Amino acid sequence: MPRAQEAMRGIVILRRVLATIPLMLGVAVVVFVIMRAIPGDPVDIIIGQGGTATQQELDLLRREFHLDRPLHEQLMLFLGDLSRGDLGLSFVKRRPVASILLEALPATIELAMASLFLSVLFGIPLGIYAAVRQSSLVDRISMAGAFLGISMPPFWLGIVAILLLSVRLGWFPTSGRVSLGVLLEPVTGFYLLDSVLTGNWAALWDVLRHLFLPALTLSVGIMAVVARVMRSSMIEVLRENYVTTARAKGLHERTVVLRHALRNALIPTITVVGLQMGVLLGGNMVVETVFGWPGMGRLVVAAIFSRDYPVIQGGVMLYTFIFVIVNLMVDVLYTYINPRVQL
Amino acid sequence: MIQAMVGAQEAAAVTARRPLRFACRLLGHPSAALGFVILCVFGVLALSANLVAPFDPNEAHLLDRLSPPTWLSHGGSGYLLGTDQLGRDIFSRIVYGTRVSLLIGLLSVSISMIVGLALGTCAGFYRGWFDALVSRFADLLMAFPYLIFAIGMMAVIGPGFWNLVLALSFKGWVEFFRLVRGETLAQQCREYVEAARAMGASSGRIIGRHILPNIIHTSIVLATLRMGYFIVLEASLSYLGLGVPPRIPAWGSMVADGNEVLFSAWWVSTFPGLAIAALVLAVNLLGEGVREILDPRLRIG
Repeated sequence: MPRAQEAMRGIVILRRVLATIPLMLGVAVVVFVIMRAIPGDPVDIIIGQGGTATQQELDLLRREFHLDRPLHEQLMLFLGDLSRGDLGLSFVKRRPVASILLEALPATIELAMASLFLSVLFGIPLGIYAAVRQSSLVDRISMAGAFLGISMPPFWLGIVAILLLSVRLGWFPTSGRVSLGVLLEPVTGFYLLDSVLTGNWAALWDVLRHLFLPALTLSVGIMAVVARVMRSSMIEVLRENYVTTARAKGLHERTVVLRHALRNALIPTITVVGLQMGVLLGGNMVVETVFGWPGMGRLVVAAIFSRDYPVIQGGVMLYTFIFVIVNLMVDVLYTYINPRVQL
Repeated sequence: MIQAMVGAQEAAAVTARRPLRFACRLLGHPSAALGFVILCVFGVLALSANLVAPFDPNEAHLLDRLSPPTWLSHGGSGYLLGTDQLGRDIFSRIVYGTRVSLLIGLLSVSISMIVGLALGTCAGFYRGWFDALVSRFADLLMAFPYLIFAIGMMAVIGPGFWNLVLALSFKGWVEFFRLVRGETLAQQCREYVEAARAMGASSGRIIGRHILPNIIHTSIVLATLRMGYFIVLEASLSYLGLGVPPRIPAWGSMVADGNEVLFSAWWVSTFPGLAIAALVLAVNLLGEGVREILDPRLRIG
């Protein structure tokens, strides 16, 4: 039977993977339509920054950006380019948007992963503890803290963190990914990984110090949500019959909670973590701006001010694709944790 | 069937009496009452901003630039929370900024809720191609991270009050739609709907008079819980310079102004940020209270 179950799971996962293709196509169309709502001609914007141009140059630019074709042809060309991983040329840098974004991607992913790690590392144990010791002082304080955490705008939290921990106490640097004097050989673009791979421990320490504050800022809201959901689902699971049975067998409370209840209580938490990835990616843009973190978010925000629409368009699309893929991964992970689930 | 009809009439009577009972229970709920009181304070500030604020929010006192709050030991003269780079009174700007945050939060949540209710009940009631079309579009919008969608949209349509409302509610209705559609589907097989249909009630009447009163409370809960998030989104957009035009004081853009002078004048960005946190906290406290009273089983993060 287990083999049949494996096969079923394979089919279910495959179907879910295939379903993301029309979704991503739809996302691309929506982005295309919204971006075409820009008042005026994009070429005017490019010229507006570069000074004067002759009619010939204008026509050339229009052709370069396919602006001389009808709208439906533009859409087809756009989708065709997209399928080859071509996101067009930046108006300002005159370089492919895809390579500009990909250069900044490791910084963004490193920050996102670090904050996800922090939120899960603290959120889950806090939620479990609060559920097991319901109405205790720790429970009350941590849940009140979680409530505060949900209510604070991340950009302000980042500013307060900089003021207190960087300026006042001088524990952390205020911005950037690595100090100017630190030499780090780029291997993967993920500085943490690079410093470990090259055995550069001084750089690792420096990178960690730079990473900590933005990651913490970004993680507070998610940590709070994770702790709250973990607590409520753990309380629910602890009331189940099988938990009572486990207790009646004389098992240690720690075993009951961690070996019997945890797995089921984790299911809602994982769903919520998946949903929070959207918040994480959005917050990422803001927090990168606060901390001068050289990732995709800061790039897109800068592009907004220079009206570099291809970069904005590519950035929005890349962020959304990451979100879709993360949700797909969460769903797949789900089938392993909860075998009853049907996608 | 007659029983079912009597049941429906009773339910309607209960709904009519509900607001008062609901208000009493809300005020009896300690954290909800606290949230309600803070929210009322902000509401009064917004309404009477011209009376409360000691200065015009855009009045520049160039001789008193970056003056510290009066209560600090080295405090300047006459500015409760200090001044910014242009010498504008921060307290007055915060008072006026309440209007933007509250109005945009309220408007975009209300629009999202109304659109979600209208589309959700119709999709759940009529099914068919309309349901399929709207549901697929909703799925599409769900695929975007919220803030990123709003940022992309604001980048295209440009800053402005109504543009902000549009960018926030363009995706905001989706959650309401999904909730309402599901509830409508569930209600449709209930006896009271069947009874109304047997009595010859039109579809519009069944939706408006019978289904809607039975499902609206979940949307109200979702709306109160979401409003805080909408306020944070608005503040984030303003922080990035994508909010209302610069001449209107908004908390998010005030925090951004203070970013430049963070090391010399911490008060410029600290107090507007504190105002955002207090307002969102109040709304969230109220939202939790409303949820516990109206629909304790509803699970919305």
